[in-house]
Amino acid sequence: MTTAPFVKRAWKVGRAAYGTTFAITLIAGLGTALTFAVVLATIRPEDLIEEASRLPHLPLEVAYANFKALFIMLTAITVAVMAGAVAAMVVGGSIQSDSRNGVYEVLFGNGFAPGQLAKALFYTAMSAATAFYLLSVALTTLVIVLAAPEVWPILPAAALAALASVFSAAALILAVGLAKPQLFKIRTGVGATQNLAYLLALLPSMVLTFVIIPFLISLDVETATIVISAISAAVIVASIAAVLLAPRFLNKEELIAHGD
Amino acid sequence: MAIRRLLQQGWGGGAKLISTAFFFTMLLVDVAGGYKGRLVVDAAFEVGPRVTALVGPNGSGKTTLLRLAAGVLPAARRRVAVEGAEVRPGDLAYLPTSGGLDPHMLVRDELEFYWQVLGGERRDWAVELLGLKELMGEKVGRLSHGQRRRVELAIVFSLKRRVYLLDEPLKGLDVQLKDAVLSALRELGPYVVFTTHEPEVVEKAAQWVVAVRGGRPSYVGALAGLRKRAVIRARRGGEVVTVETDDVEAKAAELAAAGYTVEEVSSAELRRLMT
Repeated sequence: MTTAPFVKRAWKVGRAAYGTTFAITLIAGLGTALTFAVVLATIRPEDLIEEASRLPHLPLEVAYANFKALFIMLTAITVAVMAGAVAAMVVGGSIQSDSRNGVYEVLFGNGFAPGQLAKALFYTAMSAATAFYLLSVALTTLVIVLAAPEVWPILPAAALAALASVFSAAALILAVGLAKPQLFKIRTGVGATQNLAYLLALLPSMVLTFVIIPFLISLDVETATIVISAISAAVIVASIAAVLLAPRFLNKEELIAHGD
Repeated sequence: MAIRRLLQQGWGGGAKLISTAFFFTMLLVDVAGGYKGRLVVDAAFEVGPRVTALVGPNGSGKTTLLRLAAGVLPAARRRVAVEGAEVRPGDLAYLPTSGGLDPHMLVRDELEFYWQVLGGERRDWAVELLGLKELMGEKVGRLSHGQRRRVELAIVFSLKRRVYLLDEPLKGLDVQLKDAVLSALRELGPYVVFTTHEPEVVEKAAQWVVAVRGGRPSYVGALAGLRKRAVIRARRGGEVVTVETDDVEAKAAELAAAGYTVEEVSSAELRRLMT
């Protein structure tokens, strides 16, 4: 019963506080998907002759099909990184602004239990993750339809990788927000701005992105699918564990500290 | 046990007040804790029903004490009880010094959020008392400090609880609203503990006084126990005088005869405890 007001609040506050960043990130995601679609649509089997020559066991047509499949996988993960970033901003932005504005002090002081807060924010995180996961899958599907309709079989693995990216971003920002909210503080140095909370939340999806790149050279779709699926499953399990454990480490003192 | 503790802590009300304490259901606040493992407050006191003023100079630990009692800060020791029975978190209301509102939200949305999450049994009364009807459609970020405080007060005043812990509830309010809020403190619940830096506010609203210094109570007792010696502030044109006296009426008459207008009469002892 108490979760609905939190979900509504997170979206309202998040949208108001970070509206421009949301918009820019979503436009970047759409732009990336369309760019990848254009690359896929324009590349020809003969463009891969040199690459296929390094892999004599692989006929050119198979190399071409594999390249397309792996490129779709990369598209799915890249778009999911951006979707995950936006989902993390909804949840993290809500925790950040509510902490800074003293909302948690009022809640805790008036009998709202930390466990209730963790539960409410979990639903908020899931609402953001679901919304932006569906958006990222829709964009990937759009790329497949537009540029590579023959690679449908790769979609389940791509969708799982996207799920791992978006879910881990939302789950980890929630875990960090409850247990170590001080990591939201922006540290600035010469030419560098650092926000450890968002960096940690996006780490799994960055790992997935870097893991797919060597397969674009080896053009081994089968191994890539197994590796990406295994990492994605591990990321999802680890994210669930982080979300379940976070309430135990909820840091009341930092959450009411009114810091940035 | 209640009386022994009061005596140990230097309860200043005298024998008559100690005997009256037997007829009250006392509120016990017993807390210790602070920030990042550092002990800032170590205090235990019992007060009677109605309104208690928690006073002390800046940095004496009033806010930390209320935060510990409200369960906002992790405490090394925490007990809030009425006649031995623990006060559950749902029976306690807490108003922080400031905060609780997001500048991007509408006043209506913020109040609705807290009413849904915490409850709002007395929302109509609170909205009426604090004159918020015309502010409902405003963004919090556009409100003045005083208007924000009215919204923050409305969140807590909407709750029907047994114990109210209010940190500087009058901060930023205009004179008219201050009087309304002071009157409302008596209607809020059986136990209201509030902090203030204004002696005249204590005189107007409180029955009990807890003075804190260095995180420990330096005085716990009835306000009446502090009224032996008074401070009178009087004005004649641009000249303001402050005098201490044991006989308020005689001194006030003397000042009036000399052309002064008495502006404020407060307890000398209370002033000392607050500074």
